[in-house]
Amino acid sequence: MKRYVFIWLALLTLTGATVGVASLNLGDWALAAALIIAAIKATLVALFFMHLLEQRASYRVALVVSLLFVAVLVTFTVLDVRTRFVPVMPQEAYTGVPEEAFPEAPPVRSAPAGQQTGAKAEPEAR
Amino acid sequence: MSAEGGPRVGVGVAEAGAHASRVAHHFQDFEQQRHAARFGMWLFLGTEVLLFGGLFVAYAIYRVAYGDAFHEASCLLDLKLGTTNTVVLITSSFAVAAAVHYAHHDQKWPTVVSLLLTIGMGLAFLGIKSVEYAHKFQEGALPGKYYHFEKVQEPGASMFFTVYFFLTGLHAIHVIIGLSVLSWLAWRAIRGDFKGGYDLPVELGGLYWHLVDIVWIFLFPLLYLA
Repeated sequence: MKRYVFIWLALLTLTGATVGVASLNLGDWALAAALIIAAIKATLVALFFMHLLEQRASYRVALVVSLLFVAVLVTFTVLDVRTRFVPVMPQEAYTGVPEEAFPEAPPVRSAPAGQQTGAKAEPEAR
Repeated sequence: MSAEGGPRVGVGVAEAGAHASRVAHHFQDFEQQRHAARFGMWLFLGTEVLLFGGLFVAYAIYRVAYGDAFHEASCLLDLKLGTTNTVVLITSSFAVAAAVHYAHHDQKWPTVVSLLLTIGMGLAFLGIKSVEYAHKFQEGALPGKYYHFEKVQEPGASMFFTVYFFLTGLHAIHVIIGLSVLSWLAWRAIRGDFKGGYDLPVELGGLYWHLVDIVWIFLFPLLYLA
């Protein structure tokens, strides 16, 4: 029981820490810091409350493999979305608001000049 | 590990023999049956991680597309209520860990009390969540075309609330399922089912509740502190 109380206090402390770190306005690093603290908290719960530390390794494999698949899914989806240039991903697709409604045309990355005027997503001319 | 470290893999031969009646015919012994049950539960928890993984990907995509709108919208969630809910859920996780510990050591009433405390905190979590939901409904911070929230009008803000409602909604469904399981366990504990080394249902129900807690541990910073 003493161990559970210790883990519980650690989890509460880390909750306070994550709120505190968020109030520092770290900008781009805020998300990374929040996720690292969340990962530490989740690991504490899994290892001690869920007894992964002292039980058979096969249970750990089941959890780690599923986490790995989620990580692969998130990583490659984000890589895809971040490396698309804008005409392929019109604002309209997300918001339902036609592209013309936006005051300025979004900056077009690595697309030939002149294509920017086309409001609809057209396949790159080759 | 200390002697009070909770449920163990190694159950003595004599103890296993004492529970021969509880061993299904396709298992060699009690221990093998326990292992199969635990492993099955962990595989199920793995699929739960994948289920939430899909929504986390949706969050990632829209956050990449609308970083500013996400930041603005997340600032308008009630951080106090969110933090309170995090503390409530972490404490309930602690209570269910205690319940598993007591069940393993044949302490009937401490098990029951811990389970009831867990259920109480789960209900408190849902109560706080519904206060937040009611507030969002009133303000018009709703998913998709129902969005008419005046404070954030940037494109993409409605997507934040769509993702918010889907993530917290799916999580709330899990809380409700977890509460049903815990109530059933509490009733069985009161009836005196868990004695003489038979505590596996409490342990597996506890695992589910811990997973619900872990999901919230990630939801809280992503939604409230983004």
